Amino acid sequence: MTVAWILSFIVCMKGQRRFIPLCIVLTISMAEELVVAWLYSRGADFIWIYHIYALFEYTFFCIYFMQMVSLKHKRWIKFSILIFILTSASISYWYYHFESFPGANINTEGVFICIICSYVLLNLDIHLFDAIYKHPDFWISLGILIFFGGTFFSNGLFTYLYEIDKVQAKKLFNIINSPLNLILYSCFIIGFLCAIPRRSTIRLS
Amino acid sequence: MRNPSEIYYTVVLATIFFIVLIAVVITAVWRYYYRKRAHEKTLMEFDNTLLQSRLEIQEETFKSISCELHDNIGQILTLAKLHLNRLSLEDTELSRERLNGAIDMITQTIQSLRDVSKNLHADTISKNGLVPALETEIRIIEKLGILQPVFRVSGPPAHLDDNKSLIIFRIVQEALQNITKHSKATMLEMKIEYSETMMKLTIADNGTGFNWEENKDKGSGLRNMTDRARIIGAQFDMQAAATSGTIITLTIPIS
Repeated sequence: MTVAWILSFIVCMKGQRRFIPLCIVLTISMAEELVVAWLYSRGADFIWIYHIYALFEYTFFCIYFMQMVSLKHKRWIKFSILIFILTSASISYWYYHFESFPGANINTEGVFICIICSYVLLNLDIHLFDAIYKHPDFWISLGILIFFGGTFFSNGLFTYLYEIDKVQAKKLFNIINSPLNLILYSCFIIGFLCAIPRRSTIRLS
Repeated sequence: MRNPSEIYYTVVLATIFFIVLIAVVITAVWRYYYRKRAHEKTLMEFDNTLLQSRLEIQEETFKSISCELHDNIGQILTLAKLHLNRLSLEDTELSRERLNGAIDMITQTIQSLRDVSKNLHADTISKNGLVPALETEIRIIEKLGILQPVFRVSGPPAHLDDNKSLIIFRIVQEALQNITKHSKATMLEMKIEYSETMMKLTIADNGTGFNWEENKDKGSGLRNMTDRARIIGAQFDMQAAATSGTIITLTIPIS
């Protein structure tokens, strides 16, 4: 995650300003992980952070993807941000009371994000790169798609498993989440590396 | 404890999710290369059309120069030669008149040669733009004296890509040729309307018109015009009735 975060900064500083929303998401993620670790070490409640983080994560991912879609779809994505914020806040307040892991919130986010990612993947700009594997948006969309698709199962069951056996639930969650996180950030790293402009590369606009 | 059906739904949804995910990734890769190939094909088609248009414009220019040399410059020079041949040393007044006449004719020829030289420049469209090039075409038609052309431009002119301009010019040239050859029109109106997003070019005549359905498969001219319009992303429309002239509309998006 740290490597991806540093690379996102480098890419933005090299003039690729469209990656700023991803840079912000990664910064927020880093801050979230640090705060969670600090609260956990003090034995304080930290679950509420995930509830708030999901809102920011979805909003910034949407801002990033909005740059690649048509005006009509941009409106839909903006509308989805509003819908997600309202839905997620309602679920957190009335269903989870900010006390349980927000599995339903993250899965709702995942469904929305996967729809947007699929659209972006199917409509990648063909003018910029010869091969699809050189396309940063391909790697970033693929990483997000695999991550949210993969965590769908663990997010959905975590609260249920946590009530049965806290230790085993956490273990299972980590077994599923760790490789998916690795895939997500590896894809981000590849994407950012592809986005760094090289002197020898001729870009057609 | 939560409802166990939650597990069932999660597992089913997660499985569906993964299958869809794999399908999306495979389709995305396939679609990317498919679109890329289609784009390359379009580019190649565009290059071919551009080359063909260039050659045709060149051919038209040569024809017009040949015509100008034969019908105008050749005639005037022959006449000037006749005047000079008939110079006589005895009648100096008449000789001076003939000499002055010959000088006027040669001056006229020099002007005509300058016009021909201007037309010879292959990059007239890129150098002067589409509108002046079309204006020249209208002037040539006016010179022929077959019909009365009118040329109008409205709206703030937008810059068009040189290659696109060249193809548009060729479409117009083809349309004008058809009108002068087949329409028996006495009036011709060419109108260019610029807006923020598009350029609309209309060519209307009061000729005999023609039956679109009967003629659309006959000549390559109409097919060429529609194909060329498609290649530059323009819309080509033709309203042609058997008796009331023809209106050609070319709508070109401005990016």
